[in-house]
Amino acid sequence: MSSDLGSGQSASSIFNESLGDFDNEIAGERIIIAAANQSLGGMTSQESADAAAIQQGGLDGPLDIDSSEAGNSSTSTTTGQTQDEDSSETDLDEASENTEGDQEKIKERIPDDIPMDGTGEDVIARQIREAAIQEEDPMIRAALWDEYRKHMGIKK
Amino acid sequence: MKPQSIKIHIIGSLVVCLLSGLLHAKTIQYEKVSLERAQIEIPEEELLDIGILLFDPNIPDENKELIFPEIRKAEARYIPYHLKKTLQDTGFWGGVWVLPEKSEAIDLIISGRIEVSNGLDVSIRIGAWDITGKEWVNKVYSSTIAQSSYSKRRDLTQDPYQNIYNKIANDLVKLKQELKQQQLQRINEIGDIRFAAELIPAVYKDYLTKNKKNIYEAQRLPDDDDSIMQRVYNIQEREFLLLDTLNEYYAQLYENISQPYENWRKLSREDMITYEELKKSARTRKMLGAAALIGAIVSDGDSQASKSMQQMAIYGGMEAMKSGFSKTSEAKIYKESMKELGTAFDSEAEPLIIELEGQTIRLTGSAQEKFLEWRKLLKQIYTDETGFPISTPSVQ
Repeated sequence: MSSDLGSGQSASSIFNESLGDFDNEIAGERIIIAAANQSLGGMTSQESADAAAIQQGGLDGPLDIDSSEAGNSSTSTTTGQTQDEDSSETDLDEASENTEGDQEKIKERIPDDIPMDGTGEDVIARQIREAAIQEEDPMIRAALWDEYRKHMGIKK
Repeated sequence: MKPQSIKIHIIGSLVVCLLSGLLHAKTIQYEKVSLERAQIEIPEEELLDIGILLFDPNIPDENKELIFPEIRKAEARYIPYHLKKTLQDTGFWGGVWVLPEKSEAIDLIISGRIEVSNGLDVSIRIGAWDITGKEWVNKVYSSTIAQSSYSKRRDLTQDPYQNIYNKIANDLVKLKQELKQQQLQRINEIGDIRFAAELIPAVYKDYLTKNKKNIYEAQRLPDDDDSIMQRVYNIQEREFLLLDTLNEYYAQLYENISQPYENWRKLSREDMITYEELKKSARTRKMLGAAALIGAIVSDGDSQASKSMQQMAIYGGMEAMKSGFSKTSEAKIYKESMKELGTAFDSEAEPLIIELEGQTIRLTGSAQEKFLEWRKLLKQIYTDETGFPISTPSVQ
């Protein structure tokens, strides 16, 4: 990007060339932006946010997409999103040792009117669900499920 | 004072306290501020460009409950961008951009600091100065947000905080309309000279002076055929091009966080109302309980009926106190819920902010190199064309 005044060109022509270089750089940047917008074009803002959250989950640690799609709600031990890094490894080890008893416990903690498979959930709803499932205090758990219902528009 | 009158005095005071607490119950007043839009096209010479600096997220040094740093950082980018959209929508202004840092190429600069934003209450300090240095606005804008502002059936181009944006836009238009066409034109001219003086101060610095109020005044204007000034305009165009591109990145962040940010605000608003109500209810019940207990303790009747009344008052007071404590713990649950929601969105916003910052730094860094190069070239061109060398060190 440095100008070479010893090249035989006048400062004025170097200036004009430099403006042209800048225009080309900006045009290139605009193409990158347009391409990025196009790749997200078919998605709603919410879907984009979900995609970003999934990507974030993938970077921080494995996201248990399979189990949530198969009807099991994703547990707090699998997302790592609200956990710090130190605890996430321990949690992953524990997750691999999940017993049927743990699954039963999770099912017990999900009220009857809440879909087990998390159908139609967005990122926030999923976070509330996870928080509710791992909450030991029944009163707080009930309040979290109320939040979930409000967010998802489920009438009690 | 006799014991009986002391008793009456204590109970009376408590009743007054309780009543004043109940009478001061908060009634939420919602407002609807309409945006003023230009009815006719504004002539170009009356248009001012606006730059909105990224807002100060106002994150406290110490960890403060219910203020989430990444949410604040996201808001510090989201709010200026929506303000830009609102100002553009009025039709009263020229170009409107969000700025990562101050620019001498812009006629009117807006800065902001987020004081409160929890979905229910919003309060933002706004400052606005034109390029001459004159202050236009320096005040706090506040609003309480109605539930209907979050309705999915509303005009979705309107942000739930739209009242605040409309108030700011209307104030700015009002101030602009107080200026005569000549004054607007002078702001434009001084803006151009300040930009030129920033690039090549040795040539254009003396075109401007500052008066006693520290406001820039033009001593003279560049000639129409000033070839250096024409090149300054060329650079100014590139500055606007750069800002257009940066604003594409801000637009991406705005789109990406728009929905989760609204969801967070909506839920936070509901929790905030419940939390405040529970806190108030807990306080009232505890005070009622305390009043009943004190009343029972100071009552001095010896009859069986008096003793029964005393027992009932003690029992009632205890129950009210217990109920108050229960409400307090219920309020804590909502506080925890708000923390959980905030933490979730906080972690969602963080990578988006980091990505945007990376893009901004890369783009502005590359542009800054070009601007340095242009400054050097302008000096050389000036010397080539006039024969006067510029000796003052204008570029660091």
